Amino acid sequence: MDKVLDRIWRFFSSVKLAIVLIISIVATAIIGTVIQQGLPVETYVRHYGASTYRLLHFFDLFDMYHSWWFELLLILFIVNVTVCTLERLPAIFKMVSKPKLKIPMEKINAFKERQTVSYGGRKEALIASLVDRLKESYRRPVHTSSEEGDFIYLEKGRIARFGPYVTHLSLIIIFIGVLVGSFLGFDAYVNLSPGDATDIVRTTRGNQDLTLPFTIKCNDFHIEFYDSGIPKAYKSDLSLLRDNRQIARKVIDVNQPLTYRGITIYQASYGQAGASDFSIVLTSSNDGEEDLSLARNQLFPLKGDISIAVLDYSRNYQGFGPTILVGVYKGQKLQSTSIYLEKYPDFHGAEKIEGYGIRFIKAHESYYTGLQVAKDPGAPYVAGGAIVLIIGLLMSFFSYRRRVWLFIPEKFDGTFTVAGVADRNKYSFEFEFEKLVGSIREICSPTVEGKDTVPPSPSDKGTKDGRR
Amino acid sequence: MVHAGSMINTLLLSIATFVYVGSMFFYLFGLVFKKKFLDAAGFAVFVGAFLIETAGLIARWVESYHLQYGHIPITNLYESLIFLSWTIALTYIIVDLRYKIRKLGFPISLAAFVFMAYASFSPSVSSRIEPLVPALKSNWLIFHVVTSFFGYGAFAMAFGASIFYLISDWYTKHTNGKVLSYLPSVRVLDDISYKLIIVGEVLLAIGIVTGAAWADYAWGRYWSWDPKETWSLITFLIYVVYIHLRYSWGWHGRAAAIFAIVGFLFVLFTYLGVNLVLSGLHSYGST
Ligand code: HEM
Repeated sequence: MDKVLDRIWRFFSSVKLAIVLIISIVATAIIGTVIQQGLPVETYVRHYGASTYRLLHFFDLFDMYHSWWFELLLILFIVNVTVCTLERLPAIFKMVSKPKLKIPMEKINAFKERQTVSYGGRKEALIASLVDRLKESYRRPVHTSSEEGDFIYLEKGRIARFGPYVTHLSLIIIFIGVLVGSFLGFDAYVNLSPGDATDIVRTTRGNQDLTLPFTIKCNDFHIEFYDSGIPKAYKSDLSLLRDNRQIARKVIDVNQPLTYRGITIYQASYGQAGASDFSIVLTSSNDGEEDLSLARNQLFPLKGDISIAVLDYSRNYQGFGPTILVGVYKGQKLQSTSIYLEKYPDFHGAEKIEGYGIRFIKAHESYYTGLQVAKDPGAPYVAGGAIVLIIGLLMSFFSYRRRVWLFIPEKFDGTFTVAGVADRNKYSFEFEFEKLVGSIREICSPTVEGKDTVPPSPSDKGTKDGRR
Repeated sequence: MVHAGSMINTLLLSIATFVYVGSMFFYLFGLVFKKKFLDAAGFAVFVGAFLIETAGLIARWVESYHLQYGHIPITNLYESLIFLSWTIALTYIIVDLRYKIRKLGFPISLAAFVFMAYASFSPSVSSRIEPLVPALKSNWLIFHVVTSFFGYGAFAMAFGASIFYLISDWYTKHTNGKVLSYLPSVRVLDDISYKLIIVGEVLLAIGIVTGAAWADYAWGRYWSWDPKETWSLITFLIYVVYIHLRYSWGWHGRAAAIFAIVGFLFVLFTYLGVNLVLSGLHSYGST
């Protein structure tokens, strides 16, 4: 049994698995953007044909991101990150809290960054001045000694070592937030005309009725347009009622929702409700002017069996602003149509119907407001996780851990070794290492001003061989 | 409708487009004739083009206030193409000041020019300053778009450095070890490409997070698998794979360069492909 668990654990702690999972998630996520998600069944059947539809439906490809197999991929991925992180974290803690202050000579000789420095004086003086002077650029040089010799250990960028773990932890936090949200939250919508009230909303996924702990009343809805007909702003004046008492009221706007006890109501959309009314002035030489208010498609008798009706309306017809299309009927038969512009009354002003002139004054459109009603108790976790994610990435990337050992052999013969290694950014480290060695040589030179420090021995160059 | 004021920004931006072409030729001659002063001239002209472009963007921003729309000029395809070339240019100038890789100026000025020219001359891209739909009126918009685009800029630079890597690497292979002296060494190119990718990755992460925060704030849903969202996540994950291959398995050099080039195709698709090929919420899809 332990063996099985062990193997499962090993399986999930592999970075290979991570790469396979991420690539699978990427590949399947792409499918979900190519096949449009969540359209009505008929649309798919028309587009793909019935048998292809059935096949794609079988694999949940029309609601892919919620399919069991996609969710399974995400779960495997999270288990993978968790196991990976737990597996390595203890070693990291140990590595960071108990750094290797001494390392054996064979290891030192294997480092790419390695140089020999000469010093004319006594060993004790060398160690003392090195420890003292290196404090300037390394926080805490640590001096230890063994029978082989003395070591001075230098380290920078320790925090970067925790970066990946903070990053991975953030993914786990985000995942918990998503889970909390999907079990304890909901996402629904409702459309209300001004004056309407309801406590029943429809869930976005699943299309089921949901009863809220309060009633939403739409007191008013207001929409404004730019000249081009694009909506400029839409706002709903909402009241929340419980037992016929108002418990909250707010005018919500697209980026300004109303939140009550964890349930938030957002201005999501709007739509046109029912027939709009159109104000029209009818002019004739005999009767003078007459104000009319017509609903869409409502026939208005003009004279004899001739009548007119507003058939269509455009908020911005070819850049000319609000425009109506008026049809002229003889009995029930449409004879002709013509357009009337609100802003340019003379455009068709000359065109008379049976001696009547028509002037289009204004359209009164009635709208309903589209509200989204959502509750997501997981969102704060997701937000916190996102912040931790960014911090983790910054920790990982904008620093890197590098360690340097100075080894002064027990039988000091005037030379000692400097060797270093970086976890990442090997290339930048090369320059940093050169600079460090330069300053060490300076510390070791007899006079600080003296430019002629001891030239590097041929063996220094040897370390550069075998480098790509 | 043509407003008298709207001429200034488009004029400046057109001038910038041509000045980018000028710098591109200097850089090109610099590559061909291997003369340092040509590269220096290329860089000077490039910075000039960048400053004119900056002035054009500011003019456009100011003019949008005159039209009473008042919004940052990054809200439709035209503006976003201009802004993308601007972020690529700025990223390049910063990287050049730090690492002195003049030679990268050629592909970068070419890219800056191509995006500008596509914005200016493609008949399907309108340069009109348009009003914002209500959903886009939010300060999150600025954060979200600026961080995402600088991420794209960094990935674009990594792409350029990786192409140079492959050229240089190929040359060395086929000439028995000679190096292309006018390009930075392959190690520098590899290192720069990697550093730009991690900068891009952090910026992209911030871009995704601010986008999600904004969506939550405006619609109560931080994630809805909208194609643009999904593709930026995909791009993020592609570079997560890159980072792990590099860190855990020591991928570098040619393999990493090829990966960076392929990765940039994902960036391009996220930026343009999604809007041109797929459909979704993001505004500059309909031109
Ligand atoms: C979206 C998902 C992920 C992100 C954003 C992420 C991020 C990171 C980052 C930033 C690093 C540091 C790399 C460097 O310093 O160059 C890293 C390292 C690492 N990641 Fe991930 N990672 C993710 C998924 C995974 C998964 C699923 C695994 C599971 C095996 C994993 C395993 C590792 C390991 C083993 C390291 C090296 C850690 C070390 O050496 O201390 N990562 N990751």
